[in-house]
Amino acid sequence: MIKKALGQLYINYCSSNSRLERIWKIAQVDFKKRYYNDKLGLLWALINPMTQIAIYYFVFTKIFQREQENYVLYLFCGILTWLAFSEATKMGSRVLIRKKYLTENIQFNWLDLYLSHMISIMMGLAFNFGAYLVILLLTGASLGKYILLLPVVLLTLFLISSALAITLGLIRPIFDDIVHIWEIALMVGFWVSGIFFSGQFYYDNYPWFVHVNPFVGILLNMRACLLVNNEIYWGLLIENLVVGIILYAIAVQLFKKYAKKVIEKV
Amino acid sequence: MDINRIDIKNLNKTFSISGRNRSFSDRLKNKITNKTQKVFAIKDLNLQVKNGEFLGIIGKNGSGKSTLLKLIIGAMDPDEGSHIKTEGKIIRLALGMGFDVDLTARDNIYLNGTILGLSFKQIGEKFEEIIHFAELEDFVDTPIKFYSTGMRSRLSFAIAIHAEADIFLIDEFFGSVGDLGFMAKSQKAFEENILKGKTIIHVSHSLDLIRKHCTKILIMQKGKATVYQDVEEAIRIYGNTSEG
Repeated sequence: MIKKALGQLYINYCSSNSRLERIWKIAQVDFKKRYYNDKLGLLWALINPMTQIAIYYFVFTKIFQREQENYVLYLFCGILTWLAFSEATKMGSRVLIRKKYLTENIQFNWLDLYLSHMISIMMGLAFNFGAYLVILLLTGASLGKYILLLPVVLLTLFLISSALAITLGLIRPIFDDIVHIWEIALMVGFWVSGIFFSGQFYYDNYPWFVHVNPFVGILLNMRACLLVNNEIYWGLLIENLVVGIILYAIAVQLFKKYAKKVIEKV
Repeated sequence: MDINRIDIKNLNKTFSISGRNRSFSDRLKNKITNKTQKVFAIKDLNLQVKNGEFLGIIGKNGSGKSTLLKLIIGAMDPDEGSHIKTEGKIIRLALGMGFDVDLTARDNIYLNGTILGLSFKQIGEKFEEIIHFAELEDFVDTPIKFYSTGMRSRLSFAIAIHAEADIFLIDEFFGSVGDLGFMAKSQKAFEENILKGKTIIHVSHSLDLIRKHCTKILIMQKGKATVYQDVEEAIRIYGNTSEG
């Protein structure tokens, strides 16, 4: 009976709802296109983060003599999440430019382009999480006890990344320099968001910083979900989700108001 | 037949030319002193297009024809105080429309289909027909960037005639749809699939095409537009002004 009800729900909402199919199709082709002409294809989605993890692991454990339980998984978790955020915002700034061939010729809700973009980023993240699980099994470590909260952390990441992608997408066609400014912001963020060490340091010494940079909280809670012996930060979990919702709502309003004016400059 | 598919009142569109390639200080100076150059693309246009009407738009290059189509489809905002109301799904047919050249015909058909509001199931049902019509059976999984202009046009046209849109904006689309055989086939399909009951706005330099199908004409000259109910009279006036 439940199966029948779910089937009916799918028919009513999904199979006849071409909007969902449209969002999915654009996400699918975006994901495919990223590795379309490469000989190794999707493997590059894995090789890039793996290489970074290997280098940072070597530097931090062999040169700086850092000793921490499951440090490779600790790094993996941080780098994957950061790469997804970085890719979402950098590529997001070009969504309107890349998809002009659609917006000029067919009438549809342009925000769907950003939803698709974010879904394609999440598909890449899911692929890398698969690799994470394999390493987790190989090292004998286990997932965090808050694994069931992972959807909340991912939703927060999705909302904040989308909001920034939409905003950058609105700025870029009228102010190209934003690309360089954002590159610098990402570089700073990479080193100060707790990818290599625990965000607890900021929490204890500079508590204001964790409220200014939501990524610290996202990483802390991502590790609580994905890696054993990491505690959840309930306050940051809720705060970041609320911040994500507010930022997303503001970005959507800005998009509705300025998207058409901006696309004229492309 | 009586409902207005497109209702335009007091439409104005102005572009600000801000000198994008100049230095940042120049741009800032222009902004502060309000020295940006204004170009009036469309001035005070009023137009109603009823369901099933076929409106032809003629005018020299740069007269604002394509801008008008972009405004109707909602790809750009008009100036404040302008009013554009459309009723129904709109598609703009232009050369290379809606194609991602890195993707194959298969992906592009599904991509365009979903954006046009078709479900995967509906696209699946029409897929073979589209490919067969475009005569691209051997190139279904070849990226569009390797297609000739004729192949791309055939695919655009094949998707378009299967699209379930209410309003078609045709922007210099015919004339390069392929060889003579395909042109004859596309003309027939156009008359059978698109002409029947659809609302069409057709921008073209081909007066023969305009004369054959249009029920009224809009002549655009430097953004100013005049509507003529008499097609022959409009073509005669346009001919005189073009020569002048």
